[in-house]
Parts: sequence; structure tokens; C-alpha cells
Amino acid sequence: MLISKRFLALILLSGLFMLPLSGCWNRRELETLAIVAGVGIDLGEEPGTFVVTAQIIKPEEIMNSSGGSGKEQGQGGAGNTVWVAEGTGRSPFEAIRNMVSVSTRKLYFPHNQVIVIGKEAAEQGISPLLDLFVRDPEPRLSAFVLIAEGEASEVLDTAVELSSVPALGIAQIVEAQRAQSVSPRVDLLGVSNRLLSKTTAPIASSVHVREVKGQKSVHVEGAAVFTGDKLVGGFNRDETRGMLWITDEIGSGTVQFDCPDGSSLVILEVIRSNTQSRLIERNGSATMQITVDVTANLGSQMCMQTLSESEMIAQLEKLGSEAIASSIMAAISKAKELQADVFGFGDQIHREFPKIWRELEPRWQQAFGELDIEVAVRTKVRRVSLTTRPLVPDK
Amino acid sequence: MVLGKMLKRLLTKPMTTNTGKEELSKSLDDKIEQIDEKIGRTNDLIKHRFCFGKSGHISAALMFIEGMVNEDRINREILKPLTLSNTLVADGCGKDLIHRLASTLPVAMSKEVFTVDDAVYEILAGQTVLLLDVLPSALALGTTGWEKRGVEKPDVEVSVRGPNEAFTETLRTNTALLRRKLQHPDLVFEEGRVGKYTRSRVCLAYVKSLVMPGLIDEVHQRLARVQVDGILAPSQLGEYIEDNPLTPFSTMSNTERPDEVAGKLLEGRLAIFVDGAPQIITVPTLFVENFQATDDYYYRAFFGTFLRIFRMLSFFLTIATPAIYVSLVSYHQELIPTPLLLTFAAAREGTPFPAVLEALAMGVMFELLREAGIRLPRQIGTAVSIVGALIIGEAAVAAGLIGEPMIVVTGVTAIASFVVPTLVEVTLVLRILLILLASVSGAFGLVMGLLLLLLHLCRLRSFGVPYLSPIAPFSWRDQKDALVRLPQWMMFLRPRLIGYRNPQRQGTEQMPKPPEERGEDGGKVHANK
Amino acid sequence: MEKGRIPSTQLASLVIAFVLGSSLLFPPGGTAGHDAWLAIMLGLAEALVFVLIYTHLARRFPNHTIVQIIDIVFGRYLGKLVSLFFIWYLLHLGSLVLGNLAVFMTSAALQETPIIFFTIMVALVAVYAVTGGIEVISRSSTLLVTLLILAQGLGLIFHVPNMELSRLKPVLEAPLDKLLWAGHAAATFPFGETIVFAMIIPYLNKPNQARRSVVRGLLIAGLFLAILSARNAAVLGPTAGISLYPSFVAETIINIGRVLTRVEIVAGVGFITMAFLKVAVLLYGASLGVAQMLKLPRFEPIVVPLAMLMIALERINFDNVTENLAFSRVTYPIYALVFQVAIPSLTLLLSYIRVPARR
Repeated sequence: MLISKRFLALILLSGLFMLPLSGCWNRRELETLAIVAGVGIDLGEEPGTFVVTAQIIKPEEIMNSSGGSGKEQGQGGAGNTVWVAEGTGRSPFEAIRNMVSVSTRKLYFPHNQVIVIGKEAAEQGISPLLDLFVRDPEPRLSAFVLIAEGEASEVLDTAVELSSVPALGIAQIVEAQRAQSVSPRVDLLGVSNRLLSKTTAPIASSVHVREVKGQKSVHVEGAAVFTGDKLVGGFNRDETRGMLWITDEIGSGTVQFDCPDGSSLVILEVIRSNTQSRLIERNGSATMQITVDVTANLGSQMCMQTLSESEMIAQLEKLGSEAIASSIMAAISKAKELQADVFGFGDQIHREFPKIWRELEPRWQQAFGELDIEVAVRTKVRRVSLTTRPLVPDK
Repeated sequence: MVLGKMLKRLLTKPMTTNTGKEELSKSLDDKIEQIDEKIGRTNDLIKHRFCFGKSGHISAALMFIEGMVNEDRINREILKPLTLSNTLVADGCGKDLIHRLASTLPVAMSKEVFTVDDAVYEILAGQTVLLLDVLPSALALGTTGWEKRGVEKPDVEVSVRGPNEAFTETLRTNTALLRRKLQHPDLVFEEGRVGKYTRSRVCLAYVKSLVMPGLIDEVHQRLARVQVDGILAPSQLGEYIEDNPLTPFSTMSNTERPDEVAGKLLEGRLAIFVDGAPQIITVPTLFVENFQATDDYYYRAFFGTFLRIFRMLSFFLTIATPAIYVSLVSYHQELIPTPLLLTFAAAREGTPFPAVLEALAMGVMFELLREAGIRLPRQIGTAVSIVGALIIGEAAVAAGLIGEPMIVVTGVTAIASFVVPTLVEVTLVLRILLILLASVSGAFGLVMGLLLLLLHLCRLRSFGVPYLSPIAPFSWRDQKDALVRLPQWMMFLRPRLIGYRNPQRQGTEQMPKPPEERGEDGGKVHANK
Repeated sequence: MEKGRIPSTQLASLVIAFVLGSSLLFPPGGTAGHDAWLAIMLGLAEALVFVLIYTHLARRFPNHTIVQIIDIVFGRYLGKLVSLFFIWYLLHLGSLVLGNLAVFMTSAALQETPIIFFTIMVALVAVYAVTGGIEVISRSSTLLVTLLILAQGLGLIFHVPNMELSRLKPVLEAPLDKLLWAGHAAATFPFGETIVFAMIIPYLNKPNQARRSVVRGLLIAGLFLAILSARNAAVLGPTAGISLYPSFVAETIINIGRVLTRVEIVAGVGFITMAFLKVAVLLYGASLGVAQMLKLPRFEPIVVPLAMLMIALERINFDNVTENLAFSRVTYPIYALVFQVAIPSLTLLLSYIRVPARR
């Protein structure tokens, strides 16, 4: 009991001593933080410098604008709900710290949801740029990585409709890509893993700003492709789709092709997709066999043919498979052209056939270019939605 | 052990036998004088002289305290038989007159006393003392009867589905209430007195065949070493006999419901009654009992279980919510989902004080309001709380002194604290401690605080039983009535650490079943046709 | 000296808590890459041999802690020296755990808070636990371990969408010598460290169940660690390899419908509580050991000085994290053998030569 009494006193005392100390450690009240929603990294004007753009949320303005877009009409800027700050330095880290000279508050990164890297910066290599974001405890690995086709700062300076914070809007757009599958959903963890891989080429969503009728808007589509950590090119929508088929990351999307009578388009909506890729030995050389199983609905038809018949459905399935296969082939040839194993074939062989891998590893760059890839697509059209005929009178 | 037995004897026998040596004298006047002097010539002492017997040859006196006795009964049961019936004292004033009176007077309780002190204590306890000339002893007659409250509805522990009677201030009424619930010869009441000046009657109640082994001796020993001026309420007595005096937690539970006491005794516990107070202590008390309410046992088991879990959650909420808020807002903003963070940030924008001060200030304000609400008469009390809620809630936010989320946090804390009424005082202490710790080092401080709390609870014992059992040490068996409340027919065994004198509490296979026959009518309608 | 008695289930939970202590922070077997889980299983198997030695010792001398046994076996003077070595190990280990915890706190959450603040806080609470006796520590461990396993189990379920089990392939990629070394490292940290339970086994209410519950606790904890390490590899991929606190980083990935997200605090709390329990057990073992070595009537008065010693040791252990890593990867697996294997087996051997069995 004696000890416990003394101990209580000890605790109380130490508590008392600690209270005044607490002021100077880690306490940072919410109102002293500048919450960063998005970061952009560009090359500076001076060689060897970087410009970091941070999109900082103004919480009060957001509450006042109550979820609306809150942007100033006509100006096309990111709006008054956020402040886009800029800092320059010889490293992203220094650039961020240099923002002290313009920011009244400490920049706070855990809620950062997008990292946009400008094209030129990405061409010089992203590994040194992203190191900070992986190493520092504040930023999170779940932030999306995007490569701007121009300057990153331009992307962060553009308003996103229906989103009071543009950067969060961009994150939502990336997330929503599953509905059309024309852009990969790549977060910092994904990039970091690919950067660490010996063979798999990093990719990132591609983003650009387009001006329509004087109104700027952000578009996320296609993919940026790296070899090593340097940006070497990009996949367009179709090639990106093809890559996502291979890596089995298709959520949903439309597949369109000409009607069997060739008159106009028919659109299939992908419901489910499953891809199996296996390595098989054939004639002494390794062949990658890719089997895609797609379940789709007839989403819409623009031709006047009645398609809801068994033979027609079979036709549609065949044509759909061909369309899918062609985008897959497009992706493969583009990847081979860029010499970027964006599909992770190298890692897959490594995992499943360590013995073959030992032989392939030293010359993988070349082997990837020569790799035989067989694509088999099986499409199933299950439903025709709510109508059985096109909107024309019965024959 | 010998000491224990001695003390036990000391406690169970009326203390009056040991307290004085002066014997009553023979002369009536002397006796009256002796007693009068001892009691201090107080005005409420009535000395009634009278004569009785053949031609009134025996002079006698009645002494009692006005207000403590039923004067009606004195007239009817003592004076009337003595003065009107001559047969009672036919043989004059012999030595056995006292015995004869004791056996013939129509009074239910009578006792012969020999010393002045005994006589005095009997009078003070509300008895009437009959003094006879010549004889060196007196007869104490049971005529107690003072103003007392009847059995009423419980004030604090209200039950929706259960019996609605509460203990009162009178010990005998209380023991009778309990006896009515447990009509078994094994129910034992042991009585003694504690307190030099109050001489409060303290009564232990237990079921002989169920009570936790060793518990009675332990309670006796602890009671025997209590030497105080007075005990006015059981909680006061509790402070002298609990295991861990330096803890905010109460290791002795308090109840005003006879059904609850009966239930605890059936589990092997022991109850302590103190005359003059309607609260009854039961020991040993476990932490989980704070989360049990009598109604749990009267509701369906599922709902009872739900309520249990809810109460535990409330306890956690009420001690930790402000601390969690403080540590989130001042340290771990990365843990707040982004949309919520924006709301918090907007609310915190422009408020002058750090979150800690907000939390502490709101906590203090709330406690003030609560205290004001309790101390004031009921009608004004409600007014206070309405005014308080309006002023604190609306005005503070409007003036920009405090952010809205803090109001919500305080509200949650307050409401949750009322869900577990027996822990209200404890939660206040813990809440403030946790807020301070969280303000020093965020979640780390909070975790350290909660760890400290857990360790503290692990260290506590109530009459030797670990306070935190059956959670730690964990017992699957006892979870039936701890974290959950299982149906009655599944409560086959008594609590492991308390009821082990006679572990089994019901017959096997008590689960009720529907009849075997199937079909809408159970096959009866057709059979009858 | 210690009047408390703990049931064997509590001993098992205490072993689990102890083993998970700082290995939740630094999953063992990390040098084996994605085969770490395999290394953990190997280490577990190796450590079971260590356990057999000291539980056998405890069986030969029922109701004696290892310090008392050493005293009997080595004699009065040499025994004190050996005991001193042993107690040094407990203290040093305690300081290492304190350091791990504090460094984790400063690098993951509270960068500007001085390390000493964390060590003092944890040591204070540990002192409070230890002065309460073994019962208090073991009882709280039951509850905390249950909560931890529940939370981590739930976390595992939430991780399913992020897991790519193919990342665990190819199995047995690491070269055998590397794997074996990683396994051995895992045996000494954390499994072999359970040697401290040689100080606690006598206070079991059924001492003959000691081996069973220690082994059971070890198996559960080992399995848990293996699953955790496999999970880290499957969730984080190669990034797990460069991460200082992969288990913690893995938790930051959880995102269930944008609602259940940013829950790494749950894991953080788990780390803190388990590390605290480990410190408490070590402090208890050391205090009891000193008291028994010096034949003091009570161990409580020694607890505070030893805790201070532990804090001080933590200050001088390492200059930086990399030094810490190098120590735990290279030096510790050999250093620990002295205390985990050499002292108990030497004691056992000598006891057969010098002391007749006390049954």
C-alpha cells in the first residue's frame, strides 16, 4: 500500500511536470495546419530545381460553399475553397519546406490524395521524387500517382466540377475509372512496388488539362509508362484497356464494334472479367498464354438489326472477343515497343517458374521483346437488358 | 484465529454487557436517580412513578424516552395489566416478581437488566424500563415505536419489470423485506453495534449454506477493528472495511432493492445492513456488477445482453470520448477521415483555445450543471439544466469560444455517464486524467492511461476476490452473467470465485421445451372428437 | 516474496504477449524477404528446443526460479555472478524493447517528442504493474492479448482485398544459409527470449503444466507472427522489404469503402500494449531475480531503481536506428545464445553432476 501511495504521488507529479512541457512537442492544433489535398512536382526554370505545388484546403470556405463547386466563374482557377501554393528548391523536400515563406501554417500531408508529376520531371526519373513520400511518415501510400501531360501545377490549378476540393475530385475520378477502365488506378504503394521490382515497369494514370469553351477541366485517361524510373511514353485509352485486361484489373467498361451487318455500332457492357495468364513450354521456348473470360451485356445498339437471337448473340460474342483481343494485342505491341514490361510477366515467371527465370533473368529486356504471347478471349453475352428489338418497326 | 473468534463473540453479543459495571441499587428513588444522572438529566426522559398490587403496596416506575416509544402500547400492555389486575402480583414483592412479570405481561419482548449502563442503553434504544422498589434489577420491555417511513418505491434503482419496493431506514423492516424474499432457515442475520456515539446497529445477512467460505470471518474481523464515533450510512462503514481504500472505484456495491440483495445472497455474497439507512452493502463486489441492473434479469435475455454491452460501451465512451477527440484534433489529424477532418477543421477555425482547454472547460461546466441540478429542488433543477444547455451550447459556439464538435463530444460524454450510474463519480476522475494524458502525448498518453486503468483494476480486490473477475482473471463459465446475460436456465453454476461453497444453483436440463406433438392443434382436437 | 499464483492459461497469454512484444514492430526473419514467415516457423522450431531446456530445469527444481536454481547449482559466489549475467540480460532486453517502442513512436507519430518521455512513461506504468505482482501483469495480459488477436484478426479480414498471395511466391527463394540464419535470428528474437519465464514458472498454480502452456503460447504467437509476416508481404509486396515497420504500414492500406480507413492506430495500440507487457515481464523478472539473488525479503523496493537502470540503458544502447538494425541482425542472434541456451543448459548439466534431483 505504501508503494502504491508513493506511486500515485509520483504519477501525479510527473503529470504536473509534463503538462507545461507538452506545449512545445508535437501538439499541433487543427487550426495551425495547412491540409494538403494534392501535390504537384515540376521541374523548375533553373536547371536542377524543382517546383512543388501544394493544393491546400480552406475548410471554412468549404463549409460556407456547402459542397458546391465554389469556384469563381470565368476564371477557371482552382476556386476559393483551396489555395494553390508553390515552392521552389533543389529537392522536393526543400521546395516543400520553402513554402514556409508563403504559408502561415505548417503543411500537413497525411490527407494528401494525389501526387501529380509533370512530364519533364517524370522523364528525369520519379524515384528521387517519390522517395520523400514513401519515407516520410506523414504522406500515405494510398495517394494516387498521376503523370501530367504538361505541367503538374496546371492540373492542380484547375477546378473539378462537383468537387469542392479539386485534388480530392481527381482522386475520385481515378477511383471511378473502374466504370470504364481506360486508366489504371495506381497508388503510391503500387508505384513503389514496381520501382522495387527488377523487371516490372512502373505505370501511372495520365492526366491532362483540356480547355473546352473557355472552361478548363481535368481529364484522367490513358497511362504513363516508365522503364526503370523514367517516363518513356504513354498508353492511349485502348492500349491502357488492353493492359488492364491482361493484369485482370478491368472493372467495367464498354466494348464497341460494328454490327454483324456492318451498318453501325453495337456496344457491349462488360459485367465481369477474369484473366488467367500462364507460361507454357512450347517448342523449347516459353509462351505466355493469356485467357480472358468476359461476361457482358448488350448495352446498346445503333444498327437496325434484331440482335436478340441465338446466332446473333454468338456472333456478338465472337466480334466482342476480337475487339478485346485487338486492344490486348495493341497493348502488347506498344509495351514491346517501349521495352516496358508493364504486365509484370517477368515477376510472374519468377514466381511460378523460378528455374526458367534463372535463365531468362539476365536477358529479360530482350526476352520480353521476343516473348510469344497467345491471347484467347471468351466473351459471354448474358443479357440484352430490357428490350429485345431496336427502335424500328417490326419487319 | 483465536483473536478472530474472540472478536466475533465480541461483536455478535450485545455490547451493553461489557460497557459498565455499576449495579442498580435496591431503592426505587436511587435507581431513578442513577439512570437519570447517567442519561444526563435530559428532558425527553420520562419518569413515571406509580403503585400497583394489592392496595397498591408496590411502588414502581417506568422510564422511557418520549418519541422513541409507543405510549399507547405502554398504557395498554404495561400500565393497564399492572394496575388493574391484582392476580398478577398476588404473592407480594418476592425476588421472582420480575420473572413473573416478564412472563405474564402482554409484551412481546422483555429482558432483565442489572447494571445502570444496561438499563440506560435499553432506554436509549427505545425500550421502556420498569423499575421496582427493593429489587436490584430492572425489566426492559419492548415498546419501541417511533415515526418511520413506510416501504416505498425505489428512488434510484428504478425497475420497469421487477418488484418495486425499496428498503427503508428501519433495520427490522429491512430484514423483514429480505426475509420475505428468502424464506429459508439458512438465511442468517447477525447483529452488532458499531460507533461509539451512534451505536448504530449493523446487521450481516447471508445464506449459511451458500455464503462464500471464509467471508464471514473476514467481515467480522474487519468490522471488529472499526472504532469510530459514528456510522450514519453504510458507505461510511464501507470506507473502513474495504480492501483498497485508495481507489476511485467502489469495491462494495450499494443497493436499495430487496430483490437485488436476495439475488446477491443466492450467489454466495453477504449483505451488510446499517440501521438508519436504506442502502444495503453487498460484498464481495465485482467491477462487472456496475454494468448489471436488476431489470436485466426481468427482461428477455437477449435484450439484457444488449443492455450489458451497451453499458460497457457507454463507460468507455464517457471516460474516453473527450480524450480521443483531443488526441485526434491536436495530434493525430491523419487518423480522421478527410471529410470529417474538413468539418472539424472548419469548426476549429477561429476558436481561441486549444482543444484540451475546450474539453476541460466543457467538462467542468457540465459537472457544475449536474451538481446544481442535483442539489437544487427538483423543479428548479430542471430549469438549471435547460438554461445551462442553452447558454453553454448555443452561446459558446455563437461567440466563437468553443467549436461545435466539442459540444457534441461533451453531450455524448454526459449522456453516456448516466447510463452507468454507479460509476459516475469514477468516470469524472478518469475522464479528466485521460484528457490530460491525451493532451500531453496524444494516443500514446491515452493508451498509457487506459493501461494504467486496466492495471489498477487488476490490482483491486473486494474481500479477496479479484475486482475485475470474471474478465481478468478470465472465466468462460462466469461470462453467462458478466459480458452477456444468458437465459436463466443456462445459469447452472454460481459465480466461480464467490459461490463455490455450493456451486450448483439449479437442476440439470432446465431448458424448457414445447410438447412433442406437432401440427396446428398438437393432435388434440382430433383426439377429442 | 511473490504470493500470487497464476493459472496456466494466463501463463500462455503472457507468453503470447511477451513474444509479440516488439516483434509486432520488427517482424522477425525480415532478412529472408518474402520467405520471412518460413524463417519464423524455423525459428519457432529451434526455440522449442531452448524451451525444453529451461522447462526441464524448472521441473528438476520445482518451486525455484532460475536465479534460485543457479544459486543452488553454482554455489554461493559463482552463482551470484551467473545470476548477475542473467539479470543483466533481462535488463538489457528490457531496454531494447523500451527503445524499439520509443523509436517507433517518434518515427511513426510524434516526431518531436523526446524519446526519454516515452521510455519514462512506459517504465512508470510497468513499475505500477510489477509492484502489483505477477498476477496483475498476467491478468491484464489475458485481456490485452484477446483484444489484440481480435483486432488483428479483423484487420486480416479487412486486408483480403489488398492481398496478393502470389507475392509470397516463389517459396524458398532465399538461399538456404540466409534462410537458416534468419530462422536462427527469429529463434533468439523473440522466441528464445521466453527464458525470462524461468523466473515465473514457479508461481504457476499447477507448475507441472508449465511446459505445456509455454509451448502453447509460443505456438500461437509464432503462428500469429508468421501469418502477420506473410500478410505484410502479400499486402505490401516488395515495399515490405524496405519498410522499417511493415506491419504498421500495412495497416495504413486498409480502406473499406472509404469509411473504414486510417485505422493504423489500432495496430499502434496493439504494439504499445504488447511492448509494455514485455517490458513489465522483464522488469518483473529482473526485480525478482535481484531480490532472490541478494536474498531480500521483498522485491518491490528494487523495481523503481531497476526501471531507472533500464531507461538509462536505453539511452546508451544505440546512436541511431541503423545501428539498432545491425545489432539485431548480426550481433544479437549470437549474443542472446549465451543467456538463452548457454546459461540454462550449463545449469542443467551441472545440476546432474552436483545436485541430486529434488522431486
